[in-house]
Amino acid sequence: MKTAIVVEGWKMKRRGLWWLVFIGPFGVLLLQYLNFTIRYDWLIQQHKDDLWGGWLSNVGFLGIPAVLLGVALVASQLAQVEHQTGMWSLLCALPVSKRNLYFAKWIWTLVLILISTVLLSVGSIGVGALLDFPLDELSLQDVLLYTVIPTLLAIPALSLQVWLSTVRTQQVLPLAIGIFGILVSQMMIEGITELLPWRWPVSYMVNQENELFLWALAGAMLFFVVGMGHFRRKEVALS
Amino acid sequence: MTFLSIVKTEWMKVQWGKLSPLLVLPAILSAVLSGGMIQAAVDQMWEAQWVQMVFTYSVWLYPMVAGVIAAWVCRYEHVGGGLKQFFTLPVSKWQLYWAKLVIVLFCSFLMQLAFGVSYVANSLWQGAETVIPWSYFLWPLLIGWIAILPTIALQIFLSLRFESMGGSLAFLFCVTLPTILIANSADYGPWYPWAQPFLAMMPKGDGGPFAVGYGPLFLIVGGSALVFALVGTVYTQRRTA
Repeated sequence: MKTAIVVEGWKMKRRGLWWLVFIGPFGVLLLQYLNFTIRYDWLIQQHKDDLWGGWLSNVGFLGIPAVLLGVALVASQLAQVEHQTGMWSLLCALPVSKRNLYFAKWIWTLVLILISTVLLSVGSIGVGALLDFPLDELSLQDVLLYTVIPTLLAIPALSLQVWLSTVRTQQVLPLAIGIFGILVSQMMIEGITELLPWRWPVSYMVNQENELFLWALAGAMLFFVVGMGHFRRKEVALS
Repeated sequence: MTFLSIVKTEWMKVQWGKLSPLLVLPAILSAVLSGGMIQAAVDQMWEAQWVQMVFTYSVWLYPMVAGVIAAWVCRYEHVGGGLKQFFTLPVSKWQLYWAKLVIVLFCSFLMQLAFGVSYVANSLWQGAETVIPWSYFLWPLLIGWIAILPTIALQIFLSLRFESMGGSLAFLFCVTLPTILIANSADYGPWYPWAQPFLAMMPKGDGGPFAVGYGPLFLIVGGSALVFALVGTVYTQRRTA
């Protein structure tokens, strides 16, 4: 298991993944910084009772689609390493269980997204300070609510993307499904779209219903187990 | 080989059976997602439905799906040396780029048609008057089709350039996501290529926040399409498989 994870780490080199991990939070913070500098007076007026809350919620609303897109891209890239070079068949000939292989892909996707999230939350405090928001009014609870918790609630979507990307040779479909899920979820329409896993991070940010964590846990486990089952039973052929 | 026969081979490579769900998906989604949201008087139903459905359709779904189709028609070039095989044919390389552009443009046309059908069906189903206002929506539908040109010109270039589909689709996602923020701004909105399908399809008459004249619209669409297509042409011509 440990070896599988370490090997997976080597394979990520030179695929632009680490670059993605840094550019994601950087882009979100840059866009929101521009948003706040260009429309400073209006936004400050809007959030004058809770400057940090206003800033962090803006970061969060842009950060959530960014995190979900990152999930889809990382999962797709990690699977593509094997699809492109026909490595699945060779890997499966090694005395490594397919279960460990799948878990290694999943855990690396999660680790990369978590690193991005930590960068985003630390960066959001830094840029907020740059915008002259008083640091003694900063509530760490808000930082968690708008940056870390959405990522945790994105784990069901992550499990789903890893599943789709590992079983499909062509990455157009998994990416298209991910992007659609994100876009439809961002429209915040009530009803059936609330069942989409991409919707849960933004749902919690708006409603803060704690039952969502249970749903997310169940969803994450379901997608992980079903995905791994599908992957283990799937025949791999030399491509 | 003429340009027409290249378009024909591209046509055959598309796998229409697998692609067709993608062509009607935005139309169906926009009807389903905005169908029940409208509460308008019966005589304003056509206008109200149009605004709502264009909003869900043209801001994200339409450009995104057009981009996915652009990635789709390029995907087989990166597998098994497809580009290399093509470049051994006695044709100019840049014609490949233009043939793909023609195919994706045709797909966008089908998407617009599907959206028109879904708009009429949805409005009638929601209880609008049975006189269909053809002149009200056919023109914006056509302009909206032309306005996608810069987006697909750039996406085909990016999809040929990057071997993994993630690159081009991630780029498109990042530029379309802020569309609604940028389109809101009267200063920057008209200049943003990815906001053009939305601005083109929104009603112009009432002087609302999104009313941009057709003049600047065509200028931006034409200008950016020209630049992106030039980049794509030059890149494809210079590419060594």
